[in-house]
Amino acid sequence: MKLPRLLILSVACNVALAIVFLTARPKTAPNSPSPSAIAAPVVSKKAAPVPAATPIPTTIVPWRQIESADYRQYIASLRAVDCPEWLVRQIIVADIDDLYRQRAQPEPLQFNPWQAAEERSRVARNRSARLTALRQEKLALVKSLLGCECENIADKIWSQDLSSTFTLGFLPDEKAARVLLLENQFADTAQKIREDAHFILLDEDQKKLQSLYEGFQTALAGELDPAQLEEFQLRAQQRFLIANDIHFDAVPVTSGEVREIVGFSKSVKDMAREGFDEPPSEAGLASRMDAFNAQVKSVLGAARFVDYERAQHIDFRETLDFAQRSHLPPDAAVRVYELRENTGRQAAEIRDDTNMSAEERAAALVLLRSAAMKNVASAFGDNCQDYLSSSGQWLNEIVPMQTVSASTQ
Amino acid sequence: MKLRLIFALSVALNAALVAAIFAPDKKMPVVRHEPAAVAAQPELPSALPSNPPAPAPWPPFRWNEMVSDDLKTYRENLRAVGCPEPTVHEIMQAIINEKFGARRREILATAEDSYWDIVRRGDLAKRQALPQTGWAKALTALIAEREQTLADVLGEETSVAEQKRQAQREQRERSREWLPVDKRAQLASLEDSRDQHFAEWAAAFGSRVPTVEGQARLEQLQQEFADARKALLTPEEQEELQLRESDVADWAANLPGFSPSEDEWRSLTTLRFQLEQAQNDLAARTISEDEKQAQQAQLQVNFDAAAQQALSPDRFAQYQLANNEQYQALHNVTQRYGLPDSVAAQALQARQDAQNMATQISANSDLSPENQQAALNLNQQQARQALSQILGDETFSTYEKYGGDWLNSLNQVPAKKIYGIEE
Repeated sequence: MKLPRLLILSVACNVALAIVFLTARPKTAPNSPSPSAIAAPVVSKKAAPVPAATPIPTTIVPWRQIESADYRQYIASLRAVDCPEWLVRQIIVADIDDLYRQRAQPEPLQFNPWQAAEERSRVARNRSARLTALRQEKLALVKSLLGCECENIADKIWSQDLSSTFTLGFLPDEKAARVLLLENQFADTAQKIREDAHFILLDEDQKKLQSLYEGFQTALAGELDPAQLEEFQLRAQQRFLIANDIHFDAVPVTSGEVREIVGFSKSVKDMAREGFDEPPSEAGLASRMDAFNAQVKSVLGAARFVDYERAQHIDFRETLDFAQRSHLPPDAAVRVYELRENTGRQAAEIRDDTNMSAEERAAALVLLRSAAMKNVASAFGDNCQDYLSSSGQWLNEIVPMQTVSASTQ
Repeated sequence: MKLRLIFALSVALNAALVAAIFAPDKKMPVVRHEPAAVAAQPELPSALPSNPPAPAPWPPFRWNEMVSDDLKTYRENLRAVGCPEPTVHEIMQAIINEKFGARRREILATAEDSYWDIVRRGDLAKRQALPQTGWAKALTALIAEREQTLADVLGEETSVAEQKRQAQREQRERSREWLPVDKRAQLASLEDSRDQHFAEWAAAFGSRVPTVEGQARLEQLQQEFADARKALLTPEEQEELQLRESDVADWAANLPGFSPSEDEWRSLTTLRFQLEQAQNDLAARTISEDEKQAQQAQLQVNFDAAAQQALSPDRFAQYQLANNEQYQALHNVTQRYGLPDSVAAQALQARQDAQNMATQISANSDLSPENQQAALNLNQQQARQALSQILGDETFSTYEKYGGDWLNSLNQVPAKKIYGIEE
């Protein structure tokens, strides 16, 4: 091609590009919407459908002056009409939540029935990774607009079970929401690490989990003051009592002492790290439990530690439960429980006594039972019969059935 | 020369313009998903001119003009300024949550001092204890009141149960993409109608035991549905539907280590379906337990033989391996390290050899207890060495944690049996 032709072509390009440059550049969002922006007839997919027959009014719609395709502009406009700051935040967070809910609307996991386990698991993992990434993106967008990683957690807060509500109840709502958010992020990421490892955790996975856990603790420490953090950690740790079936029934212990004991239990097992650490060996666990019990004893003292040990027995708790239902003092339950323990020991001795004949053993057991019944009656009074037909079945087991039938024949 | 210079300048200008057009704009707005939305707006506040000739006033309103203690008035004020319905929902929800949030905090504050006391009493672990506390009752009532307020102000949301039903319907629809669209829709409609009839039938009896007539009516409903489905689908389609939606159809999803082709899946699912039907028939028969067990074993043998016929020898071997729990444990670990399936198969063989050897040693009455124990210890040691060699040290170490427990009991002398009862 000759130079003049190239030059004409190039100049034509100059003109075309200049036009594009001057017309197509996005305009900087103004502080207040321009009339042309207001007049633009735009319809959101979120908007209520306008019936075809209804003409769109030609009047200016005040809300349209507020709402903008640009979040920053939208926020500025809401502030300009004196919308309260907390409501601005709620509106923007709800709007972004809705946007990302639509974007995260996952393509359904639909498999042909012959698709193998590995393939299904790979697809499910990819989807879960995509959702995690979208969530991070959403939080980053909210943070860039509002300065906080807020999510719309109202539904979560209002649908929480009573136990979780109570556990986080000491925190102001905003902090509780942040803690919930961090917990969710932490749990999701930990689950992803486990899934990626097909639940076979190698050292590298353990390291990832460890670092994730530390990050979570740091993030918590950034959100809560030291007292709140301590309380939150202790409340998470109280699950140790439930997991290990530890009870304080009829133990004269203060709630402050229980809190202190829960604190000690971390040395046996840190409940927040459940699933992160390799479980200790049986011997290791037993030795940690011994150390824990020694600490409990040091808090309670020797006398109350006896009560504590008794509270760990299901038989005692059953007896106490009966006493409480029957409006009897706990002391009566303690007496009957001790009687049960002693009677059990004596019955075993009689059964093992080779110096006695079978008839003598049977007679001794019958005597033992009637003495025990007398003591139960003295402790439970009018409620004795109810006890015998419910938690008191052990009295019938003192004398084996064959002995009873032999002795009555 | 001049032309060349002008040409060079023109090319440079083109480059600059292209760069300017495509360069990122630092002041780019953060774009929302959709541009400003406009709700259908029947009426606007009378203060606004109906045909505005002049520029719109700014700000168009003040928020406190919207605010009302009466939530329905608040909602109507938002609608009146053209706030789109979804945004009205978002705003009203936030306002309702704020109102009720304050009351929720008050209730929780009254309970706060009792937290550790409730832990002491063990009530957090008792499902029935917590709801009986005063604060829990107050909170439950508040939750119900909030839901009622949301319903009053924003209308009833689709119930969770209905959302679930809808999701199930959609899921079923997707899983039937192999059926022609019109038949899919007709089948769904038949099923909806059947479900409706079943629900009415169940409601008529409540918790009472159905009468003989009631039972007959149920059977009639089932028959009517079966007939209608038969009339709708070809025999091939019926067979395919039965196969894909049978209880045994999903076996491949739970069998790591075996990836069936469509044909293999079809053959094995048909066999599994037949096996399941035969097992159900057997369970209903009134024969002795021993006889049942013998016939059950025979059914399994028949199934294995038929599966062997349906698959090539290699594929049948793979299928059998994948069904072996011991292999699965090994396969999980070898997969984690990216090792071929043959390594897991080899390791399985080593495990079976070691366990057979342990059985032989334990059964050898010529050995003294000490020699027996020594032989078992040696066998255990050799098994560890063999597996470590096959899997590699690192994989073996992982296997010991995930599925290798059996190695620890490999050197244990089985408990002696006295009168057929283990000591």
